[in-house]
Amino acid sequence: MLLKRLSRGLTTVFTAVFAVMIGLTALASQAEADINQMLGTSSYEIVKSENEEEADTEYYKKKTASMDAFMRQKLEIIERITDEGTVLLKNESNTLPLNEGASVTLFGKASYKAVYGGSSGNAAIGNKDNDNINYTFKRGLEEAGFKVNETMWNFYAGKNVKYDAPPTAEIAAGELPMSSVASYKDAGIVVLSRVTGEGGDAVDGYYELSSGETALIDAVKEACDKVIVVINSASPVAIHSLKEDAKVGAILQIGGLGALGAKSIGKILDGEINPSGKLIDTYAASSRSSAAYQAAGTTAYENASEITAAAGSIGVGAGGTKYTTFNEGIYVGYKYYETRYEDCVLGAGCASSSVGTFMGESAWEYAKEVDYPFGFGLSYTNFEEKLLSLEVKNNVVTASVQVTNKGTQAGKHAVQLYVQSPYTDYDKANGVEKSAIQLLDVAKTGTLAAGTGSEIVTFKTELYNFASYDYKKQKGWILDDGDYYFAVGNGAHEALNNVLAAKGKSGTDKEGNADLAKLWHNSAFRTFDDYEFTGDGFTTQNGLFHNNTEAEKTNRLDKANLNSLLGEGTAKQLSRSDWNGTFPTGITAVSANKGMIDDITFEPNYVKGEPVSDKGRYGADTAYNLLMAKGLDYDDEFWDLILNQLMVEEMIATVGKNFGAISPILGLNFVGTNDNDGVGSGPCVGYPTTLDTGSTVIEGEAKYSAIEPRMYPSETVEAATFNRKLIYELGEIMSEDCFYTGMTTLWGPGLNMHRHPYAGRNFEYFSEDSALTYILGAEVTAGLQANGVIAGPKHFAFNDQETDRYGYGVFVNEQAAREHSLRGFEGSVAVAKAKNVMTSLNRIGCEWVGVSRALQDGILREEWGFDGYTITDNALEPYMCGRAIAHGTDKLMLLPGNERNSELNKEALLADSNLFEAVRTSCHRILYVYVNSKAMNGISANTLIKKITPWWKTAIINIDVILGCLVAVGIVGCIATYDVKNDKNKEAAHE
Amino acid sequence: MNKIKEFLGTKSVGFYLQAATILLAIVGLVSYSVAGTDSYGFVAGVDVLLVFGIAAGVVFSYKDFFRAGPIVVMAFLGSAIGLFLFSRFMYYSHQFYGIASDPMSGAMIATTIAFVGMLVCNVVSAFFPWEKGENKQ
Repeated sequence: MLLKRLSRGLTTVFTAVFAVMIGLTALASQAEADINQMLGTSSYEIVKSENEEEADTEYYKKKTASMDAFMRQKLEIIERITDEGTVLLKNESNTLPLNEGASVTLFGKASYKAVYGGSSGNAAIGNKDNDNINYTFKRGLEEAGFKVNETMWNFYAGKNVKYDAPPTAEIAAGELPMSSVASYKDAGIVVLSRVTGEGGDAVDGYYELSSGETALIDAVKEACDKVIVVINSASPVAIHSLKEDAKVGAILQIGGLGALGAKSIGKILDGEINPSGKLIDTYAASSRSSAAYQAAGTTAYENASEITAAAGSIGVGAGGTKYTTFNEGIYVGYKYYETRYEDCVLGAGCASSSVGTFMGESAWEYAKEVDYPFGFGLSYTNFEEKLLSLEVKNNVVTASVQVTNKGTQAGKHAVQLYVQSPYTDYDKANGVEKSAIQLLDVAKTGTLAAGTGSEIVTFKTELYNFASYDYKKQKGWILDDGDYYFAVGNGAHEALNNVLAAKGKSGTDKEGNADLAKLWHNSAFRTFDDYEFTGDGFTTQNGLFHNNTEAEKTNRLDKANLNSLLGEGTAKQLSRSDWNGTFPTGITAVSANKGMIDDITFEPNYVKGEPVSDKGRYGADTAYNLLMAKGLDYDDEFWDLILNQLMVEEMIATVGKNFGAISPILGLNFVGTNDNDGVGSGPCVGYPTTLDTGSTVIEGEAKYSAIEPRMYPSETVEAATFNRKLIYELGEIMSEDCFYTGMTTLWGPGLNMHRHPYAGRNFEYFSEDSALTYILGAEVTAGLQANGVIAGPKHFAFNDQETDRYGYGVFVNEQAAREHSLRGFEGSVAVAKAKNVMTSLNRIGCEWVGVSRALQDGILREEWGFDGYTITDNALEPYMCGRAIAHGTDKLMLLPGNERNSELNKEALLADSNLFEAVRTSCHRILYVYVNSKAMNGISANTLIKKITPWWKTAIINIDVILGCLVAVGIVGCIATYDVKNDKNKEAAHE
Repeated sequence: MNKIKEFLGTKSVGFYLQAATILLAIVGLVSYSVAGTDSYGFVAGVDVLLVFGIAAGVVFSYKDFFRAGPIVVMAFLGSAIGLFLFSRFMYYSHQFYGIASDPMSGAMIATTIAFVGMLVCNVVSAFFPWEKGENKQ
């Protein structure tokens, strides 16, 4: 009997394992490229012909000689970023630097569990227990020579509060071992953190101080001689009380730390590094006070059920019946606070009305509403700036600024050039909005010696970069006639005060310096139809400048403006002509009309083409290989021959399989690509286990782990350096990382905007300012692509919040769209020539971005000259359908098992020439990008790509076969041990 | 009622574990039907295989033909789990890395528990007699 039960039991076990293994085998087959990358294996072998001459097929070469050399370089850049990207907000009573060897105590749950990135994606992995790689605050401080209170450290270690625990989880001061502080009371360093991630925005109030945090700081004030607060957050925290509190001596701000951010903090507290970071977002006294936050989130269409009912089989997405309205227009971040401030000074536009007041009860006052302005940051020394010259010639503004270190400590200085454009009667009459001050360019000096060190910084930028988009009258870019003031300053507010001083205005909150602003008078109103960019204007570190295209730069997004769709006045737009009457008050509830519903549901818009009649356009019996097209123009006729050779199945695989990577095409000797995420925190994949990573670059550590590519700090820290050259070098080192990880395309940088502090993915994006995003996006992209790696800036576009991201609509007027959200991408695409763009999950107006010809064809390709390919973000939901390829999308990012097989199959493609030609065009774009990239390394004209079976696949198949045999043997065993007679006897007994 | 009592009176541990398997499979069927509507997609094949597994379980609970009950049931339920894992691998991966577009819902937690539970119950049931007196045969 035991044998019977054993045979049945074991057979059941084998059946279970076999059935599950079959599923996993199918999965492994779908995820073959990913597994290969992880294990350092390949499914393809490059076979060189015997007669083939030795040719150098490394078209793009690693720049570092070894893993050690690379890692040293990488760490050096990462450390420079956190050294220069930490912002000193407050430093009173000589709090910093601390005395050498001071005894300090670390307070706050985040002092032990810091935020190293965000709470999603590769940035989240950095937050997990990687103390062998990431510097803890304790390690950073000890290496800087401080004595750290071990008792307090161990107490927090024992509590082990998660890095993403809410502010309310701060451990009460009464529970802390405060008696241990007596010997470590030279300074109490309180770390306060905030962290958000993909898929959701922060809850309201998250960026306010919690009562527990305030109580903790109060306790530290009592216990320690000095109090230093470190804000470890990608978004600003409302710290008004700390700013006002004389007992809080110093405040530092740093986003996701990356591997070495805590080391940088140690060096800054010690004085070894003089802080030079600048704020990338306004630190408002209330986290809720921005104009944008008044219209944050989404609301459902009043007729949401009608939309749902009208949706075809592809649906509209989880957020598809909802929308948001960018009622703040161009007044995002400092452009709101500073413009309203100037209007208060000028007594214009009812700016000082109580509307939008969060820190007072009557009139709106800048000093009460803003604690630290955009671009602000202190140093341990004093820098003197002189605006030496300003010239406007041939569309180019050239400004020279001399910086002299007048203080007692050497340091670097970030110079910021701003401009104020005139707000004219024409603007008021035609709804053109003007920010009172806007950033134009940034530059960082080298280390200037104390007392005498001096450097002249020269800016070159374009008139285009401060032109305004007039969507009502001219329907294009304009430059008003009138007075333009160019100014420098420690942040937007100081620059604006310098402008106001130059204009002779009184009533400012702080006296400006008129010498730091220069006037340029534009005598004639102009449009930009014939504008030409040259290398004399804005260029990246490697000399790239904005593409010139023939396309008309005109309105393309009228359908994204709720007022155009449903009538003027439907969505109130913030205007400086009437702050009181136009300040946003939530999202206007509307019903979608028939045209809008058609756009949301998309399916009725799709018209199939005729069947494909020309059989020569696929599967041609020729023997071309992709390498033959290397260096050819996109329009070269030879491409037709290459594309004709593609099998329909290969075309489908190229645009719709293998998640985000491009599948190999054996017939063209194309080995495919390995593409992955890489925003901010560097490549998302680990180094292959086959890579010899034995190293002692990080002192005390013997080996790299597979997660180390993700050592970079968050994009907010990178941006806070205000150092264009450094960000270019960051791009270069990320590119080098791709050689070690084996990646071809790195989906980054993230270029959406910090519309308000609560947006979930602010850590992945540079700033609230579109100009800073334009500049740094261009630099990092140029660095990334300088050596054959492809950059994929994302998420194009308007993905400025995570709430309802799968399908929500964004309504925005075209001026705000052009000058704000789109401007952020323009630097990376039009200037640095990014070859890949990842589109977003949301809609622009009612159309999903992936089917918006206005965005993908009109702006991206025709106006900006983009000649790469677009890829969707993770197309989990069916509204991101296969037919999107006929509307401008080039590749769908589809998980294994989630492919669009019903639309993208051979029969369907050959039955619809529209879709067929679109897929063919997408293949053209994709292959054009990769034939000129590092993807072709190792391939010569005579090499062949041969399919092989990697060892792990063989192993899985063997396991499946063995399990199958065991199941079969088990079944035979069961049958053999089955006692028919006994069974029948039993049945008879029952009867 | 008496017949049911009589029927149950003849059953042993294996049968009850098999009954638990069926109950868990039903829970899994319902909860997956709810949870599968999230943005990672619903695979009808999982439910189809579960239904076959449940049906086989009911039939074999009544009479364990050739004592093949657990094996046949497992062939369906195991395949359902295999297909489920195939379609949900990225879901769990995204949950692990915290990048999931949908947080793990109660329905998906129920599905996960039900699937693991039915796997364990079914496997264990195979090692035990389904009817009293089977030990003596």
